[in-house]
Amino acid sequence: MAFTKKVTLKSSDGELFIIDRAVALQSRTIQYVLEDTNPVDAIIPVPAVDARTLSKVLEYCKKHLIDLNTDFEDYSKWDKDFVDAEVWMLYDLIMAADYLHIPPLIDLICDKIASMFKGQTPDKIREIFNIDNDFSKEEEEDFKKKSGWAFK
Amino acid sequence: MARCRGRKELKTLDKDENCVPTREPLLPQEIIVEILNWMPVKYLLRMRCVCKQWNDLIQDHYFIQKHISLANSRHVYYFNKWKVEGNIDEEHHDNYKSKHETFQLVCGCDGMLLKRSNASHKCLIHNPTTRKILYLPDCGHDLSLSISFSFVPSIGEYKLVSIYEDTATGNEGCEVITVGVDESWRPLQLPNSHGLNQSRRKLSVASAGAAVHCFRVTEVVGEVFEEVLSLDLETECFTSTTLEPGLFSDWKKVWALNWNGHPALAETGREELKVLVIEDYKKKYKLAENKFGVSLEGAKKVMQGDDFVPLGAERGILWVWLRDKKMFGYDIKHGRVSRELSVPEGYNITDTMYIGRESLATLRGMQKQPSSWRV
Repeated sequence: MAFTKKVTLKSSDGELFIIDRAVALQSRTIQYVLEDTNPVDAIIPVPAVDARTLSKVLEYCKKHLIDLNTDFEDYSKWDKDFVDAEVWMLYDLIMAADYLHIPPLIDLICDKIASMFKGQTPDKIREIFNIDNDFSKEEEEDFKKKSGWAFK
Repeated sequence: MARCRGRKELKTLDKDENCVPTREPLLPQEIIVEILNWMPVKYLLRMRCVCKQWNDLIQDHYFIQKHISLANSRHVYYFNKWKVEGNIDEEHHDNYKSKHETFQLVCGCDGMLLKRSNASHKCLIHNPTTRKILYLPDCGHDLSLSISFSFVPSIGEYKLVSIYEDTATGNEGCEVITVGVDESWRPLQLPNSHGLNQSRRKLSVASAGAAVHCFRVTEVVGEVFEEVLSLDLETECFTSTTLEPGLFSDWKKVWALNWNGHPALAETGREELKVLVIEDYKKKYKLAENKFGVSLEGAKKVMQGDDFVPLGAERGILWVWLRDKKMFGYDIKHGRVSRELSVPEGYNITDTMYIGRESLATLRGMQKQPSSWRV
């Protein structure tokens, strides 16, 4: 018999992940579920996250649990490699991290997405985030006049 | 209608024939806010024109404070006369000059600088990143001993505390102002436990944990008293603690500083820095129990002797000022110098300096800096 308690998570596309309880507890959402219902051998559904994303999230949770003795610098290297992914993967990850409520993972991905977008023009940003420009032409001109230095 | 979230579209941002763009945001608003929190200040200022919602958000006080707390913006260092930015390879004059006025740096907080006009002696607060200024009401005395500039999270306001030489009594006087709120400075009674016959030997002031802490050494008829006076910035009440005699070997080498958010006292030595972190200044504390040494072995090459001033520790980096020459950041855990700031040939770091990060911090009543100021 394994000493550590296991928890089973079920992704939106039906895949089962059997993981250590301690790994699952890094997600506050799952922590609450476990505290409230304390399901013995029950399967916890994670309807908002697909298997591919969930396995990636769990990879992060395992790394940040097991290697408590890992040097800070090694962690940052590992984290850097972890978020070296396509934009869509980062979007899926951030949605999953938000749903599962894993603050350090949210910070890590936000920092990465921010660094990818920080060179873009306001037009490009509107396109990326699908945002309507609700400023009038005059207001926009006024912006450039008043804080044109920020655009240099 | 199904949400358009095709992988191809996200990756390439092409509006191809299979994917009619809906004007639905790809990420929920709260996640966009999280992402913006990690953006550099200058870029956020530019992003204000994306839409009205972003414009409001980037000027929102909660957003600004969260952005400051993440401390992801780049470091900036300001000295009188000289400012060195980023990776220390870029140097700029920091005498913001209009045609008629030059300013001296007094202190800083959250990327904002308190400056005093050399001509009129008027004080102002300047955020060089957002290019905004706020003139302060005159204080009735010279800012002779110390002034500290701090954010008070519980009330969401910035306060300035000035400790000055009270020429009438010969003791220290104290005044406070809530910046952008008060129309004048308010006097505070500084505790003076030894009466009129005392003479001050030393006063070292640091702001930490929403309080201002003064390490004060006084001499009363040949006897030396060392104490810490802490001013709670929310209640504006002082707490004073007399230090056990013999706690430090030489009070001349003891400095008050901010140690990762906690007030602390540190005594400089040739080999190490002896640090006393005050976990909770409101409780009666036994300092000796919290004393520990930080070996400065790894900084030997940079510093000569023990004539240095510890400025404070932030995220494991101890900032040290070698008088008049340079400043360096010392990685405590790895025992090595991680950053070095040299002053250009022919210049000295004078009485004041500020290490901070660029921020969006703003104060009520702030205005655009005059266009005549050279940047």
